[in-house]
Amino acid sequence: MIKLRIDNKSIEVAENTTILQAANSIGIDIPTLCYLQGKKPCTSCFVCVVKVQGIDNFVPACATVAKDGMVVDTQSDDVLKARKGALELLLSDHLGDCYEPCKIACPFGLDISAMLTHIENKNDDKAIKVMKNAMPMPAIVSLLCPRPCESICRRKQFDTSIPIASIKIQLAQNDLAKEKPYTPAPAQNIGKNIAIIGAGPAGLTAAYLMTIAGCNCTVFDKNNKPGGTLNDTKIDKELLTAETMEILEACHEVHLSQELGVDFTLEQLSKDYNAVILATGENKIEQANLQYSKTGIAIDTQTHKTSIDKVYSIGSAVKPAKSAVLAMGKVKKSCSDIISHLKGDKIDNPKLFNCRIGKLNEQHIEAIKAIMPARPNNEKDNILESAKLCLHCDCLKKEQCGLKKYSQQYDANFQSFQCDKPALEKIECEIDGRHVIYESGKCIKCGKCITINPNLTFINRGYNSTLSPAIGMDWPEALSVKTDEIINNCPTAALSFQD
Amino acid sequence: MNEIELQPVETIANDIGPVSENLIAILQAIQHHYGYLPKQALEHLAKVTDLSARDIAGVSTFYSQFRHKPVGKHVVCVCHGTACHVKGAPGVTDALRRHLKIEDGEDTDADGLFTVEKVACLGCCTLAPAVQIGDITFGHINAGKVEQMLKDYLFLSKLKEQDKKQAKPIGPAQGIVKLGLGSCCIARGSDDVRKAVQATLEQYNINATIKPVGCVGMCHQTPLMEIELANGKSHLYAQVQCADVEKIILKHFRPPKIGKKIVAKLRNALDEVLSDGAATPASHYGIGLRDKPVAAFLDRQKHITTEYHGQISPPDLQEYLDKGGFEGLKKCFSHKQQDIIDIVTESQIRGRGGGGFPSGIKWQIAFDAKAEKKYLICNGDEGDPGAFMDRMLLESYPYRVIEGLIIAAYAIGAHEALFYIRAEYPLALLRVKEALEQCRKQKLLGNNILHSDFSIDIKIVEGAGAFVCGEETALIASIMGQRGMPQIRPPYPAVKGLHDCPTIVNNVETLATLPWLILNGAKEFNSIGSESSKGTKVFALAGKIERGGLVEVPMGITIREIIEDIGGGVPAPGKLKAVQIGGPSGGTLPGRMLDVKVDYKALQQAGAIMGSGGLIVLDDRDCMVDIARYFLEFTQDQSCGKCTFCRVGTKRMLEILDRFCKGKAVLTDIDKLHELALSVKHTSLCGLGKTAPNPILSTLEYFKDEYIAHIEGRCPAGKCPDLIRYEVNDNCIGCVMCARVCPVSAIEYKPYEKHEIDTEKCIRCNGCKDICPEDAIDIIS
Ligand SMILES: Cc1cc2nc3c(=O)[nH]c(=O)nc-3n(C[C@H](O)[C@H](O)[C@H](O)COP(=O)(O)O)c2cc1C
Ligand code: SF4
Ligand code: SF4
Ligand code: SF4
Ligand code: SF4
Ligand code: SF4
Ligand code: FES
Ligand code: FES
Ligand code: FES
Repeated sequence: MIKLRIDNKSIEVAENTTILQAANSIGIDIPTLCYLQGKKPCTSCFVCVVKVQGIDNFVPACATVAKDGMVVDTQSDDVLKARKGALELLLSDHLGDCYEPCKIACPFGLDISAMLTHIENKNDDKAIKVMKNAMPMPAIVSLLCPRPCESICRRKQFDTSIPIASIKIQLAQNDLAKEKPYTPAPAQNIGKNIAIIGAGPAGLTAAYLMTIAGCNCTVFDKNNKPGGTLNDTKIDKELLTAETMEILEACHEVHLSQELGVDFTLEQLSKDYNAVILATGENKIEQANLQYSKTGIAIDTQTHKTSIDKVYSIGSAVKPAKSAVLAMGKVKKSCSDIISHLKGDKIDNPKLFNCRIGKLNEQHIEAIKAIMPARPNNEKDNILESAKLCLHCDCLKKEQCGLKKYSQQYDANFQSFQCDKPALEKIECEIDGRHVIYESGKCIKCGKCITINPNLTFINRGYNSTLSPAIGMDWPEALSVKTDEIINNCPTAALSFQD
Repeated sequence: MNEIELQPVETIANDIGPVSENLIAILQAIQHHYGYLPKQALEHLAKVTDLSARDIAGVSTFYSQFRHKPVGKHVVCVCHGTACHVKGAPGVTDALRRHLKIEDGEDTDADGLFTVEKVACLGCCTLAPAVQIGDITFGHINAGKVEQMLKDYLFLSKLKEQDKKQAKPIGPAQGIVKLGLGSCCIARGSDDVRKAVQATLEQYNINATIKPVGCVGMCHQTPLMEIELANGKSHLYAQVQCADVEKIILKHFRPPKIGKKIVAKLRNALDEVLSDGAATPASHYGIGLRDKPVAAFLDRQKHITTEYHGQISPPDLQEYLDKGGFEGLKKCFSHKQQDIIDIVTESQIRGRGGGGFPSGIKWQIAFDAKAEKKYLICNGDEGDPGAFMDRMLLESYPYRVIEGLIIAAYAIGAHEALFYIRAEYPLALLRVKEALEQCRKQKLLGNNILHSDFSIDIKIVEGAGAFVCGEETALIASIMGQRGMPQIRPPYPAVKGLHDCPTIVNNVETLATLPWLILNGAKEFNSIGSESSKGTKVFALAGKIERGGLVEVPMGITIREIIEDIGGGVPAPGKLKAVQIGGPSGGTLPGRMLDVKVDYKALQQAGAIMGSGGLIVLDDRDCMVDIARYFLEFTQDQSCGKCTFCRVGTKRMLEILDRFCKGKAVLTDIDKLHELALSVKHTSLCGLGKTAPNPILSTLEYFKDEYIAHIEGRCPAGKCPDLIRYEVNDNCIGCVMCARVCPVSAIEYKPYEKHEIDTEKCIRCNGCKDICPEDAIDIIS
């Protein structure tokens, strides 16, 4: 038996155990990207590095055999920094967007690419679901939205952007026209009674999203109809009523024509409810002890708590926004913070890791042009047909990608080097009825697929090495061996299924 | 693509043997046949043999030697070795490409006549910048001479075609004419001198033998010719030209047929030639060994590895035996293996291949390992772009290296040994091949050699152009016919190497030292050298130095002694600025640190390494950022691509250095570069990545001011094209030579007037400065 210390824990392992195996056996997590269990190590990624006392250099845990008396450090600052360094180098040579740019631009973070895929697949119901799970009142929002998604849409560089907002309006209207429009099913009730004061854009958003999240929402408004400032817009009254009433119907209770300080008091509400949310818009409210900042009601930026216990505030009551939709987008995030706070969870909103291609270079533009879907001819008759134009800029493996996962964990910056991005190359093939994609720009040269599949090899050397089929073989032939295994093991979306 | 005849592919594969270990050799033969590797040929190879189709794809693209596009009729190899780089090789390549109108991304001109390639050191650094076309080497080439060079080549190659007949050596020796025929000697024209000598001897019916000898080390003096008379007196001539040959020969040998008068006349003529050194630059002069510069060049040296330099004929086994060859091996056979290992351990000799690992300890590990088979490999991959020691040793002392190899094999108990020699060293390959043949004939190889019970055979494997294959685990992969990817160590090859058997990889120089070491003993050996470094080290001394060449010095000597005493210092008007030691893995030390000793520890502490032995002297016209960039460009290109820090990190460092050279870097780039250099150093798998940042780290430490100057848009050495401009000063006499040479017409013809350079048009080719007879062109930064 070999005795060693890992992170100050003593451990005994069998001969020929690697540091990685030893660490894993006592629950120490070491990231790996190129390690394939049971196979000869590739030692390519170097994100698994650890420090061994007495050795100047970092060593890869996956391939370093534990020796008697070794003292290993897997978590010290310099080890973490080295791992981050490896990730940043890999990212500097990586071409891909984890998330589609339009989604990132969308105030509600709508999964636009997925939504459009459903429409393309003639599965409008699923598209509606994606849309309505992400945002309240989709038709109204889309009509009022400054449409940042369309301004950033990648397709715009080639012809026109995808008419995302118009597509959504059409979807929402089709939904409303149904006998039973789709309402997202609330999550399991978390037993929190929430009073929301104000049924304007912020209040309605909060009511909608918090209901979905499993809260019992009671809405108060001084007017006799919901909508607040939305009533001052050119939105068709019928549509306004339809989408706002849909929200109120899902609420626990609704009290219209009830004014704060006149018909009820904060003190009373804060006794009866777990939380009171002031979504009162820009109008100042007269309330003792309620402190104001320069822009509006003063809050704790993390928890959204005001100076009064159990009272929270959101939307333009805190700070006026340029547009109602942008305010509603912010409310979405505020609501999730408040719920976390009420549940006693830690509020931490780590910045979502998102690798981006950014500006396309000439090669990228040409490559996209070559594979870009053609414009359908019936686009004018049915706006939903335009969904087919989407380039689906998001990544097929954003949920499984190891590079993304560790980049998030190690707070890696994908732009830490000023350099050219790799070329865009996308190979598509049908294998056993499944659509298989190889994107060379996402390959991190880990070598796993080569270990698994004897038809694959690296060609060229150094920075120019790339994956390739064996000589005399094409991609479909090469990838048809152990397809599932290589795709599941590929740590990025270089190899993926598109279904 | 045109249809090609595929039958030869099968023949080649079957001749060599279609097994994976032979893949590289098969690809080399296919390339030899077609001039490149046609895709159909590779596909055919996969089809008709059991060779793995993926290995064919992977291996044929890994090694630089393999070409996938047709090659031009003539291949112009521009040396981009370190010495040639500092003397302007990039400008030569640019000028060639421009002249031949080669498009970006291509390497061959439209007519398919010339292919321009960058190659590593051609082994004639004293001629830098050097260009090799076919078997003709041109020295001191610059942008302005490119056109003439190509014309000369076409002319010369025609002549050579006609001049294929060989004369027979003549009669019993009246004396001997020794001619250096090392690579650099040949490059300097010693082969032509040989022909002239032969012709002269024939013409006058003189009975003297011509004896080709290996590198003398004095590459700066080549072609060297030594006349050894029957009476034992010898006369050494340096920088001999064909035109002088007749006179020199006649000065020493008396031709039977001509009268005394004529001889006397000829001798006088010779005296004229030899004494007019003052008027024209002395391009040829006689030197005695006691002449001051030569004495200085030789006195400080200590010849162990290069014993009998310039005295023995490389292919001559008998002569090697006469001079004590294979005595070391004989001595071994009267000792136990462990005794030999003990001698080597006690001698404290450390590997000369760059790693500096104590050889005795390494051998002990392999000796102790229990295994059916063990291997010994001589590492002759010499990848340092500015060094040619191993090549010289293989070319000039093939038997000594073979003897060392057998000694090592005997000590560890290996019965199979290999030479791994890079294909770019054709002469070395040939000499070793011939030498092995000779040894086999004389029963120095095979069963029970020298009547001992030790049997061994030695094979040659040709490398195919990958610096990383010098790394021992990559080298083993390459021998197996694979891509040269290093493996993590441990396990070390000494425990688990070739075919998973204990394998010792030793450098050429290490092995060549062994015969002397065994014969003279450990004490004698380690009485030479310093505390931590014993014995001698061979350096390839080049760059801005009076007397460049190969030198073998005792460890512990200072760099200053090498440069000033042996090398004669920096040629005027340059001023010594730095020395680069250890090539791409080494560092650049500033002039003030010249008193550092040649010692593993001392060099490392100073920020350089002993490395394999490249020693390049740099002067005030050399830009330190450019030097760092040069080496990074090399290592980046040579990285195998396995691990993240080396594959991507070297590329990112190169990009940052590019920004410096273009004046586009910002202050934070210095920290960024430094940090990245440290992480690549500490987090790479093999020595290539671990040492690649050294040229950056040492220049950042000693020449930070130059980096800062580049940020400010200045290149103090006047080297980086984007940061300099050319101006004509008042020395200009209006000779119009610059206007004529300028490839982009940036200078208007103004006979007898001061010329002017249009900075907008100028591409900084340096052509005008090279040609100007009045030093009227200034570089302004
Ligand atoms: C990138 C790289 C290149 C190398 N190139 C050479 C080489 O060309 N010749 C050589 O003898 N050793 C070279 N080495 C060192 C070898 O790995 C090995 O240490 C050496 O051959 C051992 O022989 P020695 O102990 O006699 O020095 C290189 C190492 C690295 C990391
Ligand atoms: S492969 Fe991973 S890191 Fe790259 S874009 Fe996809 S999810 Fe993001
Ligand atoms: S092309 Fe599609 S995924 Fe990409 S930005 Fe436009 S809508 Fe979004
Ligand atoms: S394609 Fe292969 S080498 Fe590239 S990241 Fe995926 S598994 Fe690794
Ligand atoms: S350090 Fe460089 S050359 Fe060595 S294994 Fe890694 S990538 Fe290959
Ligand atoms: S002016 Fe410029 S381009 Fe012309 S010869 Fe001189 S350096 Fe070259
Ligand atoms: S190097 Fe260990 S997992 Fe990649
Ligand atoms: S001949 Fe060019 S560097 Fe040696
Ligand atoms: S090769 Fe001729 S003296 Fe060096």
